[in-house]
Amino acid sequence: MSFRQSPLIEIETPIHGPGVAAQASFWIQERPFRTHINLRGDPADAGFTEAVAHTIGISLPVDPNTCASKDNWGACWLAPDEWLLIGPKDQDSTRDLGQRLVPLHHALTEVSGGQTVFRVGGDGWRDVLASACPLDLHPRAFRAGACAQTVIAHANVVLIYAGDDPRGEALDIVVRRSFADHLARWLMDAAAEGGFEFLAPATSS
Amino acid sequence: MLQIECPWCGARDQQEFQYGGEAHIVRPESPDTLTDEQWADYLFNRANSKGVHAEQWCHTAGCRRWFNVLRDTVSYAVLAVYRPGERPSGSVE
Ligand SMILES: [Zn+2]
Repeated sequence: MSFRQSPLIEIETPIHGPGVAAQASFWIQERPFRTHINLRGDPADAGFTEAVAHTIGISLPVDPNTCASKDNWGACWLAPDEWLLIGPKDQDSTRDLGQRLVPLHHALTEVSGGQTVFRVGGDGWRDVLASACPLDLHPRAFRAGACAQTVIAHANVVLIYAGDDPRGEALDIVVRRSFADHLARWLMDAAAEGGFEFLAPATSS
Repeated sequence: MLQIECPWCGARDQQEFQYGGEAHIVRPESPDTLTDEQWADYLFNRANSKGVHAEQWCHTAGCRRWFNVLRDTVSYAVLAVYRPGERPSGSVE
């Protein structure tokens, strides 16, 4: 039995927000209960990077503001010695990774309960975000393989370009759970003019 | 608003950063051997330059690294950014 509760518990989805042209140029959907791991270590330590590659199949990105993904896992560069790993709900890989890293210099922090992911997309997503995000979201600056830590409407977020969504170009927004309700409501407000669909949460895997 | 070049993340908006005061102030090795004046000088006295100023910034909403910025306190122009332990390229007055 799980007692986990989405931070968006008070927002009843789906919500249909028709814009002035009675269309929706923006959609938003929570991807709840995924595994979030904050990992720190030395990327020059082959044992460290191999332990990660062995468990989630990803070689940690060392270029600033880039991410790599494989199957159901993604790894985002956060700092020269820090990454955010996001993966499936089950904890097997976390345990495996933790055990492999035990003899090595590292810090593995399970932060799944503290943050969640919004996936957003639609023709207007860059414009909606640009109304309160100082990051350059132009396609030439923010494109496939990019991630960035920045601020949207005063909430600290990690933005991850999601190239694998069947609905088209999309973006994952990682946000602290205490800011999630604020950010969701803010996004609906920002998208009101162009119209939006707030979809029911993605079924977790 | 300023646009500041984080040595890791590149150009970002000022609201992602936090100011950390004058750069290159080294804590004295043996504070117990200092006079009150010397200790107070370390703690409180700053150059307060009008013009080029070396200062510390932290990319708090980004990679959370500290780094140094050479900034003109009159024009607000950012003249150089460099990582901790480095010195800016070019001469500094
Ligand atoms: Zn940075």
